[in-house]
Amino acid sequence: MSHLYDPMPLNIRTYHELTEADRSGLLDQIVTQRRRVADRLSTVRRVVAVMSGKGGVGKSFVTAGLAQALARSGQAIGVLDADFNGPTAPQLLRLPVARCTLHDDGIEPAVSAEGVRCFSMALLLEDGRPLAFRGPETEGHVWRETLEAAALREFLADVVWGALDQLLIDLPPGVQRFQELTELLTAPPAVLAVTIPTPESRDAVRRALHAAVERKATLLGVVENMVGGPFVGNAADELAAEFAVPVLARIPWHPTSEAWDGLARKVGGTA
Amino acid sequence: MGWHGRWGGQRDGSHAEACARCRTALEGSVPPGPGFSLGLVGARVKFLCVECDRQMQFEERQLPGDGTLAAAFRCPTCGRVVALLTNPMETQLVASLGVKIGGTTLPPQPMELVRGMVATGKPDAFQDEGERGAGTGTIWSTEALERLARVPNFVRGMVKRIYLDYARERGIGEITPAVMDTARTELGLEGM
Repeated sequence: MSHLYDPMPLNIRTYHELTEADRSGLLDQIVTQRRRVADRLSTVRRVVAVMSGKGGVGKSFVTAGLAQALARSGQAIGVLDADFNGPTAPQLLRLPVARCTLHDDGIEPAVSAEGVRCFSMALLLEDGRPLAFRGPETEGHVWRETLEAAALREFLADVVWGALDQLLIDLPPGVQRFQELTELLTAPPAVLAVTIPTPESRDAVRRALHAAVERKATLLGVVENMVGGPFVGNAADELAAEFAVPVLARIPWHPTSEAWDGLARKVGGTA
Repeated sequence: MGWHGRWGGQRDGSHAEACARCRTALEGSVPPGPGFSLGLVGARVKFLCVECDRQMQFEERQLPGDGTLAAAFRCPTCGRVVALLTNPMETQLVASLGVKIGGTTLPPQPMELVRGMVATGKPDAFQDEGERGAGTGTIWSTEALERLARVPNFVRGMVKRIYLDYARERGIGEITPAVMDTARTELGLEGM
């Protein structure tokens, strides 16, 4: 019995032998999409992915606290909430409730009291409703990830971010969105890893950091969150030693503005 | 007029014959462009007219409105046409890439895919500023406005812009349901 992939004689030309132009211009359409991302981000000095392989370690909390502190220090900061299924940036940044203003060129981000420019799926979704896409009701998992990757592309390309010192991308748990992000950018983002002290968190964040290294991202360091609370361990120190990066901050269970300002000095100073 | 009539008088019998003589190749991708990783998204379907040994060329795209997509390809030598009919799931996969079979005829609208594909968006999430088409003299018939009102609020502003641009570029003074139908067909606006 022959295997499916065993070569067999074919008496017609094959796919790669057909080389006439694609009149749909699909490649051009994709290149245009990517160029739009690059053009939009050409005024952003640095893109920072805030990531962790683990859910519930406070990525969004750290992103918001850091963004506000960086803005207080005088930097122009944006936050792109890439957690489309659990968006929280508007509440954490205490954004004003307003409709998203559309221009021909794009959509204005919401702006916090500190001047942080933010865009989030939470600004678009009906209160309490999950993100759902139009289309066939069955087998939605086949294209959902593709749709979310396309939404990320539009958040990057179609929001009028303006001139920023840093654009913080608040990623959801796991590494999938990070990989999508790196494919959309012309250069890998810098990475800020967030963990809590536990060994379980360490192991999950380790996977995420390996994914970042494989994508040739620059690792800024590790932030240990929820220190002094019920969680026990040395995750930040162990990750820092393993990946030869600094522990940028240990954020206490009840952080003060000084804790955020200290983190901002380290992250801001390397922008 | 049905599909086969529109595409050069290929009735069912001759179409079946054409299909038997043409083969499809569904896998593969073009090389990435400079600076970008394109991989899967560069993949496209190609058709070969076996009898003529010619690559068939894209002819026309249609969105019947039932979630499916039809694309016609013609052999430049013998003129035979085959139609690629994708099911709703395949159509969705193409749409989710944000590309259009047959090429684009409109400049991209801000957040076009999110506004068109998100089903749980706030009706009043977006506020159009300086709506294009305003002040150009284009008017909407009552029937067209009624039809526009049936478009979900989340995406209505974008749909309105598209029709206004379409009418302005063609010197159409009044947007009617017939104009909307023509625009839908020409621009490939499924569900608008």
